[in-house]
Amino acid sequence: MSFVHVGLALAGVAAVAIPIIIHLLFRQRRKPIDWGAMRFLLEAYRRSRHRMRLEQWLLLAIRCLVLALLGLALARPLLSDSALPLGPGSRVVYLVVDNGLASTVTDAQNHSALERHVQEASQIISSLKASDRVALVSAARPIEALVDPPAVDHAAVLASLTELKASHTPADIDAALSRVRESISLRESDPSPVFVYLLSDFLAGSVDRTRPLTSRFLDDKRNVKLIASAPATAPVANVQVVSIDSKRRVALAGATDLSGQFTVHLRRVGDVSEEALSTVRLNAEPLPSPDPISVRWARGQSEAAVDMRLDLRGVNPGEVIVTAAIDRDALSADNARYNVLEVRDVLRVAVLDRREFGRPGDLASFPSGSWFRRALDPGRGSQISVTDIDPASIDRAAMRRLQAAVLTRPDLVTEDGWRVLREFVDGGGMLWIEPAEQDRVATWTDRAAAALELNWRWAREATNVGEDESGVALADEQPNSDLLSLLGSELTDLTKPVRVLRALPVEEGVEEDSIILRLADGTPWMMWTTAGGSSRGGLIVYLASAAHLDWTTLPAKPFMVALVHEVVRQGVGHAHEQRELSPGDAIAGGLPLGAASLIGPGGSRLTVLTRDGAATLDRPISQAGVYEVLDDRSASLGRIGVNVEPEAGRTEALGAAQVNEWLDASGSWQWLDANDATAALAGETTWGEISLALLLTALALALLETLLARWFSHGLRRDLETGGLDTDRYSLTSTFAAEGRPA
Amino acid sequence: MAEAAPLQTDDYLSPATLARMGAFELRARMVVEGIRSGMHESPYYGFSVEFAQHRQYVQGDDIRHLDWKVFGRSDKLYLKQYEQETNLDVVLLVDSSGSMRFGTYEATIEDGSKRIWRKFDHATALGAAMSFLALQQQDRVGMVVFADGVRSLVNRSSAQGHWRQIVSALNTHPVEEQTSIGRCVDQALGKVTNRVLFVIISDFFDDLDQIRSAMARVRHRGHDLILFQVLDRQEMRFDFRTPAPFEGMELEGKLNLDPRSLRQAYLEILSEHCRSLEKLARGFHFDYQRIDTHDSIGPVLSHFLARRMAQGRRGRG
Repeated sequence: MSFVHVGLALAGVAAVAIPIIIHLLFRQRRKPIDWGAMRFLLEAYRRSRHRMRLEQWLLLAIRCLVLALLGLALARPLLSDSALPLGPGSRVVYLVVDNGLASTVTDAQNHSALERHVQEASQIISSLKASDRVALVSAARPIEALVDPPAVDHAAVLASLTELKASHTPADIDAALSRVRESISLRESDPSPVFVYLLSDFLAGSVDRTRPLTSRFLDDKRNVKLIASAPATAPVANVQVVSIDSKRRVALAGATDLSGQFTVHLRRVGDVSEEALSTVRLNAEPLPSPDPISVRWARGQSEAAVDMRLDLRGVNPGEVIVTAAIDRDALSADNARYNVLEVRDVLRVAVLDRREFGRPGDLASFPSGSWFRRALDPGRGSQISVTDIDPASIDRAAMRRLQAAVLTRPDLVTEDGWRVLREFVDGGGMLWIEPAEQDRVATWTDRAAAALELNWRWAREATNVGEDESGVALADEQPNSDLLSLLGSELTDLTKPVRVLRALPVEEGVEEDSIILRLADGTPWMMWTTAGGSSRGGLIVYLASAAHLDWTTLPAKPFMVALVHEVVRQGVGHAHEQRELSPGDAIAGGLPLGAASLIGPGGSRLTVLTRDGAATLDRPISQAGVYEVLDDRSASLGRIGVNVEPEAGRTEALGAAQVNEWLDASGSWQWLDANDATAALAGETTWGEISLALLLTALALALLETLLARWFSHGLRRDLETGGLDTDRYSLTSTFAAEGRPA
Repeated sequence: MAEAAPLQTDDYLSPATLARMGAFELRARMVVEGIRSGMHESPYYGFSVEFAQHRQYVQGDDIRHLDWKVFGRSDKLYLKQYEQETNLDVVLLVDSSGSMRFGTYEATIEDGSKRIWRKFDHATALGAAMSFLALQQQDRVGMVVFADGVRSLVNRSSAQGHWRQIVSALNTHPVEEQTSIGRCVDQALGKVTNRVLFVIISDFFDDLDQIRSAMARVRHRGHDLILFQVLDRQEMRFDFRTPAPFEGMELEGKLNLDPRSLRQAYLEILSEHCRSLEKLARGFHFDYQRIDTHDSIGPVLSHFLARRMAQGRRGRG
């Protein structure tokens, strides 16, 4: 036992002597009373001696105890639980267990960090008294309060603990602590001491040091003790498959182009001090697997990329699951990555243009739609199927069969037509928009912006570009857009002959990274966006000039075919790319329309719920792998790859200093004793409750002393018997008056 | 300066008045004066008188002495006549043991200082009064001042000026000795041959068995006995409030105690002692009177003598 004010504690102990000293002092100072009837007094004393002595000792003990207790209470004692005579009172223990991806790192004995933390948590629970309450929170994102509010059913908590599985998501310690903080604050009136255990190795994958902890226990009025397991000190070598990129997002069956080419990116984290060897395998059943490629890691090397190619000849239309995997290492969940390659026999593209009947005139009057038809289907063997739809009567059913649409006459699209186009984009279709060649004053832009929820603000009027009739060339240095990435170095040569004479630019709302092509004067000429800014659905591409020679020389240049094909094919693949999910995701935004459920690798089923127009999963995805998407009739809508976030698998050891600095924002933490996980529980309880208890006890004893003192001196008994002090009750004077004295 | 009011009958015999008298003789005279004043109001019938004869009533006689029983039987008026028993001696035994020094009545005397009226003061005043009354009716009066034994002795006499000897003997102080009534009575009995009325004035803080033995011997010799038990009011109440050491006045030693916690037991024992004493006296047909030192002597004494007279009449009627 210790005290906040040791001096007061000593004073309290010394105060025990006060009643004795007072007794002795008064005893010395009192003047003796000469008493005649001493023989009767002595006889009375002899008769009552034992009782009086007992009473006096009892009163003295109570008086001493009252003073001692007062002194001790003011000294604010810090009692260890074991020192409490009746055992510790009810405690509340919160166990926050990191079951994030980094917790699956195994040691030399093939034991994971999570197993170790579960064991520590079990020890803590086992050491608790029956009256103690325990809560259990898993820290993997999304955090889950497995047991909360705190329960006294320790067996149930242990059962939940043993069933705790590692998640493939990163740990969200801040959210877990916030949950604990919230739970504590809900029980502010509960005076029980609170112990918060945070069990983690604090590897880089579990600690997001870019986000300071927001859950603060510092201002907590409760007695909250924060205990964290000691951070791992040694980094663990781990190689991750960070990404698997295909050149073409949508492959065409039998294509001999770059559709089957993939780049596998690897990252080595943790201990990179040694040379190492990783073997990368690419698998895409039923296609033949290419030969494995070995990556030799040099000392200090942390990143590597491997190009591998699948032979797509003879593949049937559909989905091909491409898996890039490496050898097993300390963390296995990030050793594989899944990609779904969509293989189509043909791309269906509609040109939303009003056909002009009759032979067109010269090249200068060749309509925009015609340019696009020729660019999309330049000759035999093309795997792009082009259909025509009048923009004034866009058919919803017809649009459903398409993967892309080129709108050359936006001025003719009705309100309903824009709504159909919005549905088309939301369903993953790619929409190419350009000004109508007839546009002088564009009135359709407002309807388009409203229907597609675009942040762009177009110029109201198409204007000539450049200072003379030759217009403006495209910039020599074009933005590095993914949509044109396959053109590579040829892009400069292709864009060089193109002149832009006229344009209807977007004046506001164009983000820098969404610019595909730029004019020489820096004005964005071609750009992309999504409907409503959502990551779900297809792309919207806008070319600021109509494909007409009055506007630009592009239709007559070689770049036209390349541009249309690349943008359409890569744009169509964009929606497909958005389907990739990660463990921890609960939002089903990347799923195809009509998705009703997901079937995971182990047969686990996740249900898609639609609330307020937003699709969510009934529970977050916990495991990486390939999931099949089913509609409400259990018909397959395709498959998606669920891949771990590479950051979650970082195995660098941060060290105690950095972790302490990070944790410090939430309160004062102490490290868990590695040899005795329960040591902190046997620590100190608060002074407040003990002091209060001591004060109350002292008060009760003081009251008891008053009553006993009166009782022993018969004052209380007389009060009880006569209802008031009757000094003559035993007096002989009353007898005398009655018998001997005249009235 | 305002003139002091004249003393009333009770005032002569009140502790407040008597305590003012520094000289014991003056105090004794004050007692006598008080008794004389009281006699004027309440005629003295004497405690040693006995019935002698009847005589016929003549006009002017006090009708209080008419014998109504004779009148009822014979239809004649006769007066009862009494005569003094000349052979009845009175021996006063006054306790001067240590316990008699106790007193709590605080009187203010002439110089403004305080004076404690002790049980012994009360006893000697009572003794002086008793001896005076006895001498008034020509009885022989003797005096014994005792404690553990006889301290002083005045032989019986009815001579003029004997009262002064008695008063002189009473003018003493208590000693730190215990009471031994039995021994004192034995010594007194050894000095008498005729019938004697013994008057013991004491607090009777003595062993009851010894007192019983003494009474038995007195009765056996055919003597009469009157017991005046003088007690201080505080002894009868014992209402101390604070813890204090109590020291015995007869060398019993010191005792530290909380008087409140012992009050009940003490009063029970004292009360039992007094009741036993009274019962003992009644058993031997002796008179017993308890006296509070805070009360005046006169009324108590008058009442006692009147009662004794009435008992004497009943015994002979």
